[in-house]
Amino acid sequence: MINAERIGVISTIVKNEPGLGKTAIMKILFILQKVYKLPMNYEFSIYTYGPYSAEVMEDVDCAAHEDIISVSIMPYPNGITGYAINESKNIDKYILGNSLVTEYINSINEVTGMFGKKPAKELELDSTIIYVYDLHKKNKWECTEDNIINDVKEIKPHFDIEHIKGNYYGLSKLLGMLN
Amino acid sequence: MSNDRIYNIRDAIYGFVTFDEQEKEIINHPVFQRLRRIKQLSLTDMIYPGATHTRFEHSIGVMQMVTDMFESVVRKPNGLLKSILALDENGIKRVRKRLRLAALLHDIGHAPFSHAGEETMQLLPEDHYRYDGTDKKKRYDHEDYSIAIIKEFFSDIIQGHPINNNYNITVDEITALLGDHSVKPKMLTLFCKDFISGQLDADRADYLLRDSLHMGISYGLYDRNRLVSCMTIGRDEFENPVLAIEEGGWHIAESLVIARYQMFSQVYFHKTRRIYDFHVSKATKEILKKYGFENGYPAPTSKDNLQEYINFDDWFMQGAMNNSLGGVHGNIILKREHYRCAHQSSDIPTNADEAKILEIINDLNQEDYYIDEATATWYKVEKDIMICPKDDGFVYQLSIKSNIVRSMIGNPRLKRLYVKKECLQ
Repeated sequence: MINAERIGVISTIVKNEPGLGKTAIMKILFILQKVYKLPMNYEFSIYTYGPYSAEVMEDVDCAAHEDIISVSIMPYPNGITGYAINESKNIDKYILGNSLVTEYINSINEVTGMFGKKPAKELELDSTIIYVYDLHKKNKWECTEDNIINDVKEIKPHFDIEHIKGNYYGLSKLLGMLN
Repeated sequence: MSNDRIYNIRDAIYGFVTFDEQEKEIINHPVFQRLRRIKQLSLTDMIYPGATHTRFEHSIGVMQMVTDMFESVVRKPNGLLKSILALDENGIKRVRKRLRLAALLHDIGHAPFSHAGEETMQLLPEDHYRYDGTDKKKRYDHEDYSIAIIKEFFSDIIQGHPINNNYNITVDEITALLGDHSVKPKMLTLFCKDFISGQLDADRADYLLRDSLHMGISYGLYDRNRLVSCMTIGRDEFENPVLAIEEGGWHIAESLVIARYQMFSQVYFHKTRRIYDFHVSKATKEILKKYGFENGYPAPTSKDNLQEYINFDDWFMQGAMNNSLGGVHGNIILKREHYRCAHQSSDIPTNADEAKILEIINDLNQEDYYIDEATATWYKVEKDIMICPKDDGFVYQLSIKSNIVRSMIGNPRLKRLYVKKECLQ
């Protein structure tokens, strides 16, 4: 069954920030659900490339099928080929009057504004930091700065500690919201 | 007895599966033997009489499949196992063992009638990792039981068996590969997890072949040798290690996706098979109530609960149904008087489909019908399979390469209305 409420959120993100890739949409939705508590009921698991939910991909595909968004193949500046997501003709139908969008529009706008223009690599690191922080909270592990940064480093050893630390500080407001 | 001894067992897919003394001890454990009494495909044998194979043979098969896949990755000359994952020869042996144990035990927590029984698991408590407060209908699943059962019943064999002196593997390192959120994730673990539950995992690679073989159908068949030989480790643009298919073998990746799609549309979502899942779920609920489990199977939160849980298997449930403990739906199963499909929508239900369904149910009581919807889960492409270019460049998605896979992405949402046999006009 089409999940109109969730697709409304995706549509709003796409409307705010046309041309996002699938990774960016995934990470923005993760932050909206995890930090801003949007009741979207996605189930995220951690992979080498950060938090991922198959249901997000299903919604994106479904929205493309219903002509709400368009998903096109395009080369990225770094030489990789990926997907770019833009609005399509039915997009407004899923935004206007969507109760989830209406209730959380400020959060959606805020997160899209904060993360929409970030490179995918930074988004991947940010979302992994949030995932690890949340995991510590849920497991009642000691949630110190060092613990979080070291545990993120275990997942993403190719980022140096200073880089992880910088992103961690940049996320302090959001991490505070997880407390 | 020497710990070097290797055992062989006949298998319908692989010819022989080999295992060592420690793995033999796991297989011989009564909790593992219980899998002999849990059919892989629930009551699918009502439609395909050959579908009587069990989680037991599948679990052993996945252990062999994951070994073949990993060996193939190890043989690849790109050196990424060393350069990204820092694996030396001993590290490789250790990972192979972790993968084998996780594969062998990955389905250990299945309820009777496999997935059809999961509807009868209890609702998640607030302190569960997957509980996020927004959906209060989330239930435990078989992975929760698998993780808890491994920790409770198999820790000693995993950690304490003399063979483990060679590896020093902890039980957490096994459960982490099955999605245990109480274990801190590490890059190597996350990479290995893809062998057990990813788009290219050993689980689906085994069940597609095994289910096809037992049912006497060809939908799920693909070239296993080619798939295994093309498996490799690649890296994405951010230097994350990714399980991938070599570029030259992308057609085999495509055929795996098509095989899975065909199996879901032709078998797993067969109209009669689906309604039996509904009857099983209702009958199970009834039986559990009679045994004092009003809220469903005991939660996987204590050893006592797990002991009670593992007493349930297909044989137990079938016996309970035979003794008329399965209520109305238990009797329906026994007499094969399953609800009949009164209307089936097109892949994407139209307004006319919805109207037709409403028209039919308008004259019926709520207990006389059931509406089944194909959730995307039944067809989902999930994650793209990654393709690794010849020049060891960054991986890219199969859906970019394959028009067929790309066109399969739109999700069918088939809807069916079933009604009691006697209500069928």
